[in-house]
Amino acid sequence: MSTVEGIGAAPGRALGRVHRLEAEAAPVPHRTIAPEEVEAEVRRFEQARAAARERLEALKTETGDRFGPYDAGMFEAQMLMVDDPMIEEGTLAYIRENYLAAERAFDLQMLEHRVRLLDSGKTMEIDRLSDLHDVRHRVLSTLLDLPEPEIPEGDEPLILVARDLPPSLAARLDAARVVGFVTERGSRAGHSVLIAKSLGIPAVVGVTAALEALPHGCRALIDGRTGRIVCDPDEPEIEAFRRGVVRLEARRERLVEASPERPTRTADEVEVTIQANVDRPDEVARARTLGAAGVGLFRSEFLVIGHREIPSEAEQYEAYRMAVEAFPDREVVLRTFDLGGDKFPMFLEMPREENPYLGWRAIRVCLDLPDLFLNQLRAAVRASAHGDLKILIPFVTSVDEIERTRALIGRVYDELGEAAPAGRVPLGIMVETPAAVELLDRIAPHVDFVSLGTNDLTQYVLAVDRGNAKLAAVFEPLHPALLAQYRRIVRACRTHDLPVGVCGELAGDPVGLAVLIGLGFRRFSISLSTLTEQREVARGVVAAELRKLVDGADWEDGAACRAEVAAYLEDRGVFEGDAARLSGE
Amino acid sequence: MSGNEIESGPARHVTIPNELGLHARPAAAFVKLSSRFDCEIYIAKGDLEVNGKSIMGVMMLAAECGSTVRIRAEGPAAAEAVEALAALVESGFGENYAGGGSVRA
Repeated sequence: MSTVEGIGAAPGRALGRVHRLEAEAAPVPHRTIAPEEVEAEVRRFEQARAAARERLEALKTETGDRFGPYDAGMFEAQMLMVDDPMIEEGTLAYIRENYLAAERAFDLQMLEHRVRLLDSGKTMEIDRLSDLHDVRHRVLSTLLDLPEPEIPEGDEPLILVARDLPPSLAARLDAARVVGFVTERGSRAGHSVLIAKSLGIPAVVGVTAALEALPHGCRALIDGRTGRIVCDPDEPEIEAFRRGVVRLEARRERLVEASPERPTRTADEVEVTIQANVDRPDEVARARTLGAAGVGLFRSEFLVIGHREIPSEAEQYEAYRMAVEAFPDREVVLRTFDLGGDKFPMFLEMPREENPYLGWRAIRVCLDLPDLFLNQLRAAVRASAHGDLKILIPFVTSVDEIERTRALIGRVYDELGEAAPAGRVPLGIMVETPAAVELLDRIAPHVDFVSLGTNDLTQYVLAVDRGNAKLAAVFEPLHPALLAQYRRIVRACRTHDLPVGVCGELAGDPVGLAVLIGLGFRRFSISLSTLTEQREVARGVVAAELRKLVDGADWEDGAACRAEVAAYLEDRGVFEGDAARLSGE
Repeated sequence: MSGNEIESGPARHVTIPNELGLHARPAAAFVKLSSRFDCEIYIAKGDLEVNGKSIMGVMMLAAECGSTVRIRAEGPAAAEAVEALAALVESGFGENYAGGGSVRA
């Protein structure tokens, strides 16, 4: 038994057999042909291209049916590359003039284009390399008769391990067969991760040397929340996992009986609003089915991450309208593009930064690129005519940023003129920097609501990179320094009668939710995977008791806080030890 | 790439108006529109002229906001193609707020 640490990117736990994907294509052998073979070789190349085109079209349709047009769009660039006349001309020249075999001619062409893209040195072009790589592999696999990287037939649950998960493969995953995946590269906000979340399977990314550490065929237990991977787990580990599955099953059966329409009230009848965090417009309908009281955080990055394109205003308007219309009687809080940090859109030339989390990100990017931002604000304002849409801006550190955003929104209304919806779209900010906490009294008159982002606030208060697997233990949103910040936020919002919610991951954790209720928060936005469980946690606690517990305590560290609150939840019978999702054997 | 070919046919110089330049999405839009015409289409920035129907070529230009590109066509409906492509570039590829390319309800 050995353990490896990575970055937990999509929650859940899974046990399965490691299936390694060798993403690197085999070296193409040098082979020349006789002059009379030229035309046959040309035909072979054209057939391979046609096969690649056909496969991409099928993938695009399949992906569109499963995940919607946003994801299907990612194959467009590859389709254009397959049909690229420069690549075709160059390949044909190598076949006709240098008598190279089709695969060798094509491979050399792709190599040349790769070098040219690298030379152009722009981030956006460099990001195209993964597309180019996929196309190369796709055409070569026909020419060399290589198997496509496929998931083998069978029933045994698999954990995919790869350097990077090709988007074309991620989009085809069957959650019944692939119970989780681990990649060496990739970020929390990568496209594959978004797909893992949609499928409800755990994912761990950023695992250095995952391919070396996890041999093909070994059994592995992965935890997509903590990023911990156990290779060849021993009996006690497996037993613990199985007990978790049994507990979870029992819990699910109980949850099925809990009707989603029932409002969420604590045992002492305190009303708690539980909303959903969603990553894509099509998840809004599911949030509603689960009984969420609206969408407290609608992330808009799905429109840009992994798509390599700037979304047009029309495309954004459609997406936002679809979201608000799916929730006609509840609010949908749209967070404007939170770019930068670990979320690099491919169309932006992001500066290479020493500290991207302290760099050009979120509202800073948007205010520097008013065209990009105005497009989004305008789409949002127009969509607000169809429901209760609110705009939330991330990573705010000054009143000036709010004022400038307001001015841009004002400009949108002016320009829309009579076409503008009546009233003004409410504007709020994420409180996720120490500066925003510090300035809340000054910020309050400028905003309609605020939302606490626990992940970033933890990162900035504790000076710990949340993406660093080595520091996972130091990343503690229940650290006393953070509890002090949360208290200040509650106090300031009460003073100014400012609506406040929590949309960070802490609210998705049973202990975290209990602590936040004890501190006085009443509105939470939680990811779909834990929403139902968390509603039950809220129903099981006594708000007054939690308040006493949290107010009276002076925990010296996060662990002490966790232990005491977990014990309380266990006493109340609402804590199952590990409420994380489990899947697999 | 044409390089030392004799360059002829209608041509127009246009300035890239959109904030982020001729990045992946506009490059794809350009190539898609070019491919609808039967004539040969070339796009150049400085000394580098590439096939306007090639995504790899157009991306290679890496034309940033404010830079000037030359669109040239040879063959059937060449003038029409140049006008259509120049209009696409000047509209900011529908991505500029001020460019008027955005769609209204």
